[in-house]
Amino acid sequence: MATLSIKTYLDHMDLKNWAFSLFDPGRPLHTHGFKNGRTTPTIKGETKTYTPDVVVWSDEMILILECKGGKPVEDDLTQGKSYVDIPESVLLELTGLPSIRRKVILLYFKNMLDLDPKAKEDLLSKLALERDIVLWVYDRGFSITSIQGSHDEDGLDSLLKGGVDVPRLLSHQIEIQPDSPTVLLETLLFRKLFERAFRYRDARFTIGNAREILEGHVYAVKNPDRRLSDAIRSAETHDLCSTEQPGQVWKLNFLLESNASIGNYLQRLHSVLSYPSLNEFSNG
Amino acid sequence: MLGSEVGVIKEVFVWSDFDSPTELMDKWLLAFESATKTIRVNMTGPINNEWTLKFTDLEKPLGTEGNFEQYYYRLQTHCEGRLWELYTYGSPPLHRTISPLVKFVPKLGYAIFPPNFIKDLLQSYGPNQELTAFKAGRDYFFIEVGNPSEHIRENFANMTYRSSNVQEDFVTLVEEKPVGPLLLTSTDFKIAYHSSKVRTCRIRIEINGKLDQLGRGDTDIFREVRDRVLKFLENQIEKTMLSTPTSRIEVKKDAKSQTEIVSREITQLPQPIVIKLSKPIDPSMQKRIVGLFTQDVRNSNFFGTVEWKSEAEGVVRTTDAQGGGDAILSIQIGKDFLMISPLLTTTARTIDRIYHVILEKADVDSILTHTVE
Repeated sequence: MATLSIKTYLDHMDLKNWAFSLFDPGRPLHTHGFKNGRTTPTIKGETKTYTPDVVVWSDEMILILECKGGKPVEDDLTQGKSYVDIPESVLLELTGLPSIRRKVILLYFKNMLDLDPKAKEDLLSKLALERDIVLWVYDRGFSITSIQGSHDEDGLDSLLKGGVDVPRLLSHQIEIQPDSPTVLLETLLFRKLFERAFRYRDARFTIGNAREILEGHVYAVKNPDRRLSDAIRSAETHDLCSTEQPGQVWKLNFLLESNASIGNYLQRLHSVLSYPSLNEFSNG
Repeated sequence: MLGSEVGVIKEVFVWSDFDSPTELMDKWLLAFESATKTIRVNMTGPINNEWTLKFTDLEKPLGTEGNFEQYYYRLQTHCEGRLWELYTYGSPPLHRTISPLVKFVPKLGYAIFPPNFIKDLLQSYGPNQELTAFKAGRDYFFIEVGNPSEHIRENFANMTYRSSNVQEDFVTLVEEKPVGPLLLTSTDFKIAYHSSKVRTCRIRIEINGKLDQLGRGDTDIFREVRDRVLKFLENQIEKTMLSTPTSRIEVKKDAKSQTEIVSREITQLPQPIVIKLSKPIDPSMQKRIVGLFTQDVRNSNFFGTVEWKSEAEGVVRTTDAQGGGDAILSIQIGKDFLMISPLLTTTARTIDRIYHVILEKADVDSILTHTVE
């Protein structure tokens, strides 16, 4: 995995959410038939694990979306091709439909795709040889448009070529992914633990509480507890929590009844992403 | 059954995050007793979906040694347990019974009866209302509303408006218009039916979920008002539930390829809930609202972070410091509304508490509406 900046990771999360929002009820693609969707599913095979960003399907077609927050790189196409190889039986299990066409979508920010004309040209020329991979671009704030490849369905081709508008306000359904940097997991986890502390009037937590609170978020493919432990360790260095019983119970570093203390906690939490240290970028 | 016993009925409506009142009994009452030290609570039930709460006030000894004043509340649940109706036929002091309990347990919070609901309720009983008198107290104002209708000749309602700035509000009230930027917090009203015999009932309705019968009166009339209150709250929670996102984890296994698929299915998308304001948001109001829900915990009981801010719009994620949940607020300059985007943790209490803060600190005439019809 290439080392990316935190901003690119955050942009990437936004891109996934914009992409998923295209299939919200009432939106053109939902009306077109893509009424079933899953965010960041983990597909664990005997030898391989797939974690596409978004999967949506209609009665006839499944779209597997991979969102790219940065410039195009060689690995992007390899990743796209791997989704073309997901066994039919897995798609049947997921969708319940015995025969379904698949298209893999690579989605880029327009400005990032245009940043390096050579890389863009290279990607487009290679994509021309791929039948089942389509390229979409997102012009920030406006629409998502298909610029390369065919969906093998005239209606969908025409819809995407014209561009599909994105909603103004983004609903963050996807906040984390397995290769997100530890600080991103830490921020999400400790924001949720902070909120939990008020609901339960208790600032203490266990690894079980952490797991429970992140239910529904795919943040690890293997050994999720280890990722959580890493995030907690990182939080200790940022003074967000301290150990009560080693390896078992921690306590958030704020007093429930003190406004000043809560304000300081929020400031520390906020600064985790504002000033990340370089060695935290590529933890996966 | 409410109203089947003799006595003056006093009620409190409370939102609950408990799966069942039994959870309160099992997990919170002991801790509540240790925290308050001088209040004991015994909870029994359910019998016919009704629980009984017996409060013993250790600060009020009776003549015999070891005996103390006791107060009883009955508890019925509505809206699949999310709304609790606590009622009593006596006059137990709230500050020694329900108030400390609701304050202590983060999963409970008063429902809100907003000014527009109270005014609509009064309108439905007496469409031709007239302001007949007012008087000012230390930090509140009384407005007397008369109803010149032929059938209801007596004074109809006394409305209490709470002021956070008496001097300024007095000038507004007296010199500018009858009711200025004051929040309607309590209303006493009398309903009288003149048919073969005169039936009357005096009722007090307060912003924080309280509905009381004032003195002895016709309980059928009280029940009628109570049913309307209940319907209003049921309607509120139904709309909130329709706006709140839901999701479930789906695990599928394909035996043939030995593959496991774990994914999250969004079973309901969030729909924005709208607070309609009486005037468009200007930059200072935007700053004030953003501040209230992020830093000014003393005034709002909310904490939060600014998710993003442009010249025209501020989006904040806010958390209720009393355990009522979280939500995203969008405040746009020039718009006469603000939007609440519910999260998985958003509850009816979150919405009510956000609305209460807006009413108290930003716009007394704002109205909570829902976009989902």
